[in-house]
Amino acid sequence: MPIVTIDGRQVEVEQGTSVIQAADRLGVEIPRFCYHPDLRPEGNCRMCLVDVEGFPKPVVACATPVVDGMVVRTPHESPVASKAVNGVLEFLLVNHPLDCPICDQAGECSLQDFYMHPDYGQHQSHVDPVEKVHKRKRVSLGPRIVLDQERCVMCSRCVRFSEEVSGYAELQFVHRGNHVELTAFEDRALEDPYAGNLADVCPVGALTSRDFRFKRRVWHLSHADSVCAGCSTGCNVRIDHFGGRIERVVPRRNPGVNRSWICDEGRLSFRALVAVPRLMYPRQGATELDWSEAVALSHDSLRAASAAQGRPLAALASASATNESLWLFRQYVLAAFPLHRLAFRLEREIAEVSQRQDNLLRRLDKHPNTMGALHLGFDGGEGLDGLLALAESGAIEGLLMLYYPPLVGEESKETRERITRLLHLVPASVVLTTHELPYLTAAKLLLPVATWSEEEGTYTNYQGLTQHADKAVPSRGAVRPAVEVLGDLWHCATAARRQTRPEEIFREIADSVPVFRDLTYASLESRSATAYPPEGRMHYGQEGFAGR
Amino acid sequence: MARKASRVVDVRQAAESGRDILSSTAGTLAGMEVTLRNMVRATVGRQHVTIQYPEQRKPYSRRFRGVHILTHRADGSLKCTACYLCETVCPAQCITIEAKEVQDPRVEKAPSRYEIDLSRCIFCGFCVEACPEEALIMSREYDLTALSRGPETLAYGIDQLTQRPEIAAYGAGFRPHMQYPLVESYLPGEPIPPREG
Amino acid sequence: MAQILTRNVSDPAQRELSTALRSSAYLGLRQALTLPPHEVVAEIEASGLRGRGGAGFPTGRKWSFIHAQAGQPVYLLCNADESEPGTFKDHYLIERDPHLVLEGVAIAAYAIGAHRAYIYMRGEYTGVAETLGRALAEAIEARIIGPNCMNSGYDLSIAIQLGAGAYICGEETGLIQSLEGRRAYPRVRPPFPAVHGFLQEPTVVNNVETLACVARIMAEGAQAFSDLGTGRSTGTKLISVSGAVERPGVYEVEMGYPLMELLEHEAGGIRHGRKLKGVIPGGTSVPILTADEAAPLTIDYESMQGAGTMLGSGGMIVFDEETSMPHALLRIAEFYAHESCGECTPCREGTGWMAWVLRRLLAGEGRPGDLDLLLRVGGNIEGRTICGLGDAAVQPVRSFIHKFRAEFEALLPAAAPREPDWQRHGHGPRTGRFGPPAEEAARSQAVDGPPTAAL
Repeated sequence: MPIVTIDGRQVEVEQGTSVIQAADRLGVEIPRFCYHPDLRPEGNCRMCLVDVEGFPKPVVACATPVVDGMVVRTPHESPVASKAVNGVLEFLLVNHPLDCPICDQAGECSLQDFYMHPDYGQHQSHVDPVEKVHKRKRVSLGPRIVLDQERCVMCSRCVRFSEEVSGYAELQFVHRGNHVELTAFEDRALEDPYAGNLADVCPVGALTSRDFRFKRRVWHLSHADSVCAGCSTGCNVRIDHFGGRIERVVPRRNPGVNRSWICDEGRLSFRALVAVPRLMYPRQGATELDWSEAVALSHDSLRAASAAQGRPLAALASASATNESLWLFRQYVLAAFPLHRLAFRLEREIAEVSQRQDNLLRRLDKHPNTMGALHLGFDGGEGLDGLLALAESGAIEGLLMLYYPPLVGEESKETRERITRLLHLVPASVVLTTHELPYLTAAKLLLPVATWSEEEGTYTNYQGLTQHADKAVPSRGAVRPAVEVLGDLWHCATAARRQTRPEEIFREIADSVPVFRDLTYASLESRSATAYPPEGRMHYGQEGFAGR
Repeated sequence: MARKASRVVDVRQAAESGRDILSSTAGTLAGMEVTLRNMVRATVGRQHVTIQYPEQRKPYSRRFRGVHILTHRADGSLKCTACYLCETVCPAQCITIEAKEVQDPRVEKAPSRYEIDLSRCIFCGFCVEACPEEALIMSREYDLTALSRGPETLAYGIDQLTQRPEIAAYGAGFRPHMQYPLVESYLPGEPIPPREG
Repeated sequence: MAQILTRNVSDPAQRELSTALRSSAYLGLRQALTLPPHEVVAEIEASGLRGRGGAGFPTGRKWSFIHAQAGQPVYLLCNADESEPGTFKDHYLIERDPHLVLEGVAIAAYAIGAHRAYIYMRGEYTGVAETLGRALAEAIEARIIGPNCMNSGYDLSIAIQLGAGAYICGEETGLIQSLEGRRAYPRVRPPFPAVHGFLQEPTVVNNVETLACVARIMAEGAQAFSDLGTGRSTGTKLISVSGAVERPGVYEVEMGYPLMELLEHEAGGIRHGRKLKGVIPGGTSVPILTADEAAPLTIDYESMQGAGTMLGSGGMIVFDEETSMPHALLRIAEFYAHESCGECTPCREGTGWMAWVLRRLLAGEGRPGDLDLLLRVGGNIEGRTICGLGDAAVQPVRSFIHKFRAEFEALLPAAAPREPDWQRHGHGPRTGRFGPPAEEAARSQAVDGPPTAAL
């Protein structure tokens, strides 16, 4: 395998690796616009020019394969490369409108970052603003994306994304020279269900998200690494939030799961969290309870309904719950109810878990943790339909349910009706859930639990890959994470206290369930995925205002 | 001026000596010379040093940092484009902005809410320094009072920052490039010159 | 004077196959088809033929780079885009002797093992394409081209494609992209077309004149061809002479022919008896020569290189003493700004910027340092682009300014104008209106003056 020296540091890489990939592996920063690790290299921005020993002029690092013994010097070390990159940067800014104050990209814009870099930026401008070429601004490209042609640097990442990745091929350049414009045919709305990624791949503010438009300056946002709970793919995402409110969700790069992409449904799934009012307090009918009361009441009523009469407890946990919640749910049921029916299936989760909805990311099963539920001993044989049949025959009188509404799409009408019927049939029902849902009002006791983005936990995707989602925003009202509520219920059943920190629960799972053996939070692959371009790439500037 | 050679004084000796009563009285009077002179001036000559605030007021420096003003364009729209730089730089974190989209293609963005909580503001002027467009400047209004401490009373929104009568009364205050006139930023009530061309 | 390619051009009937066959057309193809392909390549290599499109790369060597796997298709593309300003030789050759070009295409295709060849022709050459199309139809009908060419067992189909009317379509990889139905954005090399070309398969792109030479070499032998010319420049060259001469037109000269001789004799001397001021020897993409520099030169690759310029495509543009060099340069710079495809940054922004500065200069709004700015911008384009268009745009700007600097300096303002305020203060302009005019100052006084203490 070839060994290449970049800025005096050596690295051994596979045959066919480009210089920029080798540099990324070493952590040597090479500026780039058109290069993207998940797109074909195009070499058109000329920003990644590096000085290679033995080459008469600088070459682009993105399209130059390394050969053994190659000695590369980046703009940080080489005055030749630095001058070349500075010249390219100057060209890019010749016709740039410099409307950073109203540009949503400001703060995470490659042009800004590179201009501020001491090794190749900060030239004195020689162009009067009145001399610039003007193009169209604020061009609507459908419900997801707004285009500003003046800010475009023609890197063609978006064109390549729509051709190579989503396959919709809706964008193209027109005109020539410095009048080149990015456009969609006749400005038609993009039909691409992955169009939201265009705003992410755009290194400048040419393509911006309509959903996030003018919501917040990015430097105000705090970040939490999470996993999309919209379907069984489990795309790695970063939740950007401010003041306890989620402002946007962007993909993190994980080559084994979602590469650098997420679908628009997943990207906007956080809207579903606020579309319906949240359940804020534990409730019995219309009466609000405090937590200690509610937990004791729940446990006692379930015990009374099942054990006392020798009937099994029906326990139904949806596959949208984290592994930790599912584990505690099962532990509680096993400990407190010797007779029980454990189920998680609402519809056809098992059949659909790895079925594709399209040929990129989306899958039919809209539950993020079906595989986790299967691994954790919810055998899946019994589902909502099985419990309903039992309830109709009068075989069960107590029901414990952990239910999360889907983030993408809606629960089907049929499932909603069956849940309602089940709750009507069972005399004692305790439902842990997140929202005020009309089909759950028949429950005797409703306990509010934290939803996705409000609790830490792991999900196991369709590949059997366990991924970690961090807590992003705090819960409001009396809402608590399901693990804490289940921990309290466990305490009622056993009189013992137990650890309810997700990390500790996961350790317990790893110790007892073979599939999870040797896994710890620190070892999960999803924890090292970062958004592209990687955050904290700027080694200048300040920390930001994440603490606000 | 040559300094007097210092002399060591024995405090006990000085206290015992009788003639010092006279000299110390003279010293006190000498020290009150200015006071007495002004007293005579005010009582006899009716020349006052203090003024009868609030009935009387003194002019303040043009660079005074008082309550903020949001300026507007010639067409009457707010000059502010909601870039959040003032909010970002504010050390007291008293500025809250929410942006909206506007139809004017030359503007694109404007604040739907712009609020300065003046009960938290420390009048450092950073926000005005940060503003790239002189959309936010300061006035010379200094006597800010309210009957309660709640944010409702001293949190000034767009209306108060643009239209309160005190702006005309006190005049514009600090802004970063005072060596230049305001360029295409106008204060409320100010006559707008007809457009050239 | 030696005539190889233009031997039959004066006869209008040469376009017809029957006439052409009488003047020994397709003799070279017949000859080639009797040899194994590698011997054809060897023959061309022996002739010392170099590409006539501009770069002058040895043709035989280019063909020898093709290493196709069994069953892998190979393509031959004939570049008839001819968009270099001042060049019109290919047009002339196809119009007058289309069968010569078709023969060359067929031989080259055979030599590299291609069964499909495309003639990519400039979009504006509709009439020429018609002539060539008729000739091709005749050749196919006569079973010279097509399946089983001339009963040799070799299959070849040739297609003529009209281009999309852009300069960049004449660039090797731009042409390939355009032929594939894409926007003619040149590709980053490596991989070279010989490895991944048209449809990602091995491809050779040759100029029309090169292929015409190939036909003659195969008919008359490499020795006859390499006997002509000097040193490493063998054979003849078509020169399109335009500009300030009495008889502009296409002339075939033997390599090594004196440049001034061509201008004085064949082209009839400088128009209106004026004096020569400068000459661009090979299309606008090569540096200009002053009259003094041009005087001792001969028309061949080495001589031109020695003078710091290139033979290029042989598009010779002549300027007389009356020409304003800045205006001529502006015309050239605007061409490149208009024709830059816009793919890579330096050329897209740089060509437009250079044209902008020149326009400003000629409008009497030049600023001191504008010439240095032009040179600096040129330096930032050169060698930083994907294809050669960037370098091509810089050559004229640099050479015109270096060689005719006085003319450009005369356009600069005598006294340094005031620098814009925003440069002095490091504070961006907000509206473009600076310095307080009287009414502004008065308003400023009204706004900032002493307060009305009237509460």
